Amino acid sequence: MESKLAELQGEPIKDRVRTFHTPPITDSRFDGSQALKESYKAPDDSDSFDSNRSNDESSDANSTATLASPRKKASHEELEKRVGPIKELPVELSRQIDVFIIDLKQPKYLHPLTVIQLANLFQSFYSKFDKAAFQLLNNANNNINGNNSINNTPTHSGSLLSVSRETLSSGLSGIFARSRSGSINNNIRRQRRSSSLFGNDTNSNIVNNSVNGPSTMVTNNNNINSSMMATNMTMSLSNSSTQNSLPLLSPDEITTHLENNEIVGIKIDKYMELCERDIFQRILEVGTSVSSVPTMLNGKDDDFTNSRDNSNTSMRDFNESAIINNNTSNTNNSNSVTTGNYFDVTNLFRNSVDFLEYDQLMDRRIKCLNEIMDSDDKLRKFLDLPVDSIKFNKEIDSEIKDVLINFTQYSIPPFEKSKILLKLHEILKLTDSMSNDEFLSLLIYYLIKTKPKHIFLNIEFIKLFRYKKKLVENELYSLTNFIAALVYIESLTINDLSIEYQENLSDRQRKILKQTISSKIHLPNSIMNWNNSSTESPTMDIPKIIEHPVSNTSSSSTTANATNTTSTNNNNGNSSNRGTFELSLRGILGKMKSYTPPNTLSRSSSQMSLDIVNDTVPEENDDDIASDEAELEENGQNKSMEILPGARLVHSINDDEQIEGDETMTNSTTLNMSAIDDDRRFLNKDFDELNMKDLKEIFNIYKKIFHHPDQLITPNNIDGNNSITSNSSNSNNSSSNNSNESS
Amino acid sequence: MNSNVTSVKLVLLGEAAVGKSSIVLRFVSNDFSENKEPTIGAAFLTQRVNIGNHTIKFEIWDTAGQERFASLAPMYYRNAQAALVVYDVTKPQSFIKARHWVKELQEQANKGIIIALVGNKADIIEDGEERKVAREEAEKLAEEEGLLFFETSAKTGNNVNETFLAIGEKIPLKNSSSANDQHHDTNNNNNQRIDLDNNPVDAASNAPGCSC
Repeated sequence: MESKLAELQGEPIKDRVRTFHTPPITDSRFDGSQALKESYKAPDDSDSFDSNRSNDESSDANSTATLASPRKKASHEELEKRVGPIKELPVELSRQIDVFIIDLKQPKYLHPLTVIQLANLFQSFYSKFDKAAFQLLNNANNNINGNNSINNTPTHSGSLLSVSRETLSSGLSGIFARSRSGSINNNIRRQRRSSSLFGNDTNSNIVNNSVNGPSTMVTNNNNINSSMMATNMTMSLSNSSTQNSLPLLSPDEITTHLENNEIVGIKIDKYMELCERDIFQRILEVGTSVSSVPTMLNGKDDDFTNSRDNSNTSMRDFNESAIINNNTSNTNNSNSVTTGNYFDVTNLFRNSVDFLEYDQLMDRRIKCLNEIMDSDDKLRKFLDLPVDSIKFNKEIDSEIKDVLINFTQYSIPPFEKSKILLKLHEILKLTDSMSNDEFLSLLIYYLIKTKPKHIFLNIEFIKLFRYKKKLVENELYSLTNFIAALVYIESLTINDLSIEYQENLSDRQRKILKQTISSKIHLPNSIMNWNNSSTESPTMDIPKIIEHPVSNTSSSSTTANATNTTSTNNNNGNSSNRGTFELSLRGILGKMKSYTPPNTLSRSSSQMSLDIVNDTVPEENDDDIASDEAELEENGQNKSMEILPGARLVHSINDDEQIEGDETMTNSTTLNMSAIDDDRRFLNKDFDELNMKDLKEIFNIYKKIFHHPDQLITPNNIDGNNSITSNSSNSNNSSSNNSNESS
Repeated sequence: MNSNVTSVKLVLLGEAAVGKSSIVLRFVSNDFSENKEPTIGAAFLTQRVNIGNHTIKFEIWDTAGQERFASLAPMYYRNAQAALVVYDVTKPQSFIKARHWVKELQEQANKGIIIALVGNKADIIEDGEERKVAREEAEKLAEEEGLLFFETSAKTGNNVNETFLAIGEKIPLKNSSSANDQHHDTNNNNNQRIDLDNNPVDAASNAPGCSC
């Protein structure tokens, strides 16, 4: 590495320019070929570097690939064709969606979920679904390669991998991951990771499978045969014991690997899209409402036994029965809203009045601007667009209008809406120069001109419900452009208009444009309020999810919850915050005690309900909290299963995502360490620095720890909860203070 | 020794018509062939660069340069690891604006964002037109603020690649620490998982550094 760096620095710049070799790649989800080539590069052998690079060039230009290597690697498009259209989800995956929807319909929340809480549930589910899809495909791959019929797969028990297996194999994966740097398998693994979140885990499972071979067949129906992938894993595993010889594969095999991986990637993408589609389609079928009166737990269990019993019969049936079950409970509680066939995003936002109001104001404002700029020319002039340009013609106008209507009204799943945004970009691009200078103006122009209804909610919908992992790159960019356009419109005031307009405004128009929308409505965690928080880095859109590992031992997950809760409370611990916080912790602890989640993966979606994260705690909630608290005490442990309204895991939306991970982690661990905050001061000291008095104190702490373990983090008895909560909120305060200071 | 691909979000800032988009176009489609229809997206472009045995993938976000949209810029430079602040060497006004962008970025963007100051349209000067922004002035600004500085010509391609390479070299490498590694991976997708097994002492000692 050292030598490489030195070489790099010594190299004249001109030479380095040659290393530009990659043509633009618009769809860059798959980095496999790149990673592969690099691995073959002997670190300090410049000759091989060059030859590799030439390979690199051709293989990277996926569309025009003429590869010198023995076998031509199929381009992304070809592979996509080979995968063919996937119209239906495999049964297991489809079933996960069912479980999720059923879970959503469970009336286990005392208060209706806000849209952000809902979105967080969705995001957790997407991640799980992604993981499941990846595992399914890998298993299927192995089956196919081993001449086993893929038909075996649907009979699998549904839970793809039990948690215990995961933990078992994680030790293995540790060795595995460490021992392989530089080997081909490493790259394969890496690429997997790029196509799925859980590269490490799943790989370890594969290893496990391949090592155990036949024995796993019994437990998990993974019919592992000598598929290439499995062999490789085994090879590299054996490698880890010998520690140095690298398995070399023929380029042919490598290409196959890459293609396989890419195919898996493509399939997962499609599955994810289908997943979004199916979820929202089914929500459309069952409506978005949940019965308001909580039913007893056995109702829920019935659903699950149902699902287990029916697992042999067709999913359709199960599906329908589940929906009917839910529907009847809904009608019983006379709270159901039939959405019909028309999907209305506003339904999802029903519990978040702020969003609805904002949307309404936005629509009104757009309409108002449309009235003021009563001719296209005026509007163009206002936006500094060239008035007489060939860019504007009726054809494009109507096309864009169609697209926008399609966007707001006829498309349902978030990915579809997102695709439409991209399409709109395409259209606008054709009419425009390459610069973004005019692009934004053009976008605003068409927004005002065509006045699409509920545009704001639709954008928010994508932002909240599109699988975050896929909402990247150009999708994120196009979304950002839209958000920017909306922010611009929302922040227009009378003063931005020229005098001639100002004079001719009607009272109504004047009122609408008097102040910005964001000054009237402050949305929690919205794109729209980054403007106001100039001290922090601009907060954007995306609410974070705190993902709990699917661990079923209640003690560990309790700790997780407790620490997460505190760690995320970064808001400057005002009293309401603390109240909520204490309550939430108590709620969670109580719940954890009496609720031991069932052990199947299929139930995990119900566990996700613990992950509810709210980003801000509105001030006016003080009253709420008080009443909630009373309610809580009444309900006691009976309802501890339910998600308590106070159980808001307060999460400050820190936009600095890169740092965020660290921060949450550190805060949580800080808390963990510092349950007795005051006593922490010795942590940074060396033993030699301590005097007798210090040692005495330390001994006292030591005694405290072991005599009153419940004052620390353990939630073992509910009585201890109060002290726990106060302790932890104290320390939390201090930790948030710390963070304030340092920032 | 891992061959990582690091994704780097790079945002383009600068007054309208200083040639932001042209620079990117030049960078992305290295051969500026005359009859080639621009098939790539209007504003979102990606390009890979190899630096040593490391690959950096630039995801380039273009922004609108008009003053009226200046307040929207934070949405674009949010989470960017690099920024190109472009001005036109023949327009003093654009240099003033560039100063503003630099200041704003340093105050509001990601800590550690790599900023390159770029004086574009250097070719015009060679054609005899008058230079309005002295090279020394820009160099001084770059030195004071710790920026990379280049005078480029999107038209001839002069210094364009060098600019991006220089940025790429300043990008902290992925495999310098495993923690960084994870962040890059999850940078865009918010899928941070909380690692409970993480050594608490380690994490705690990191706390002051990452709580901004």
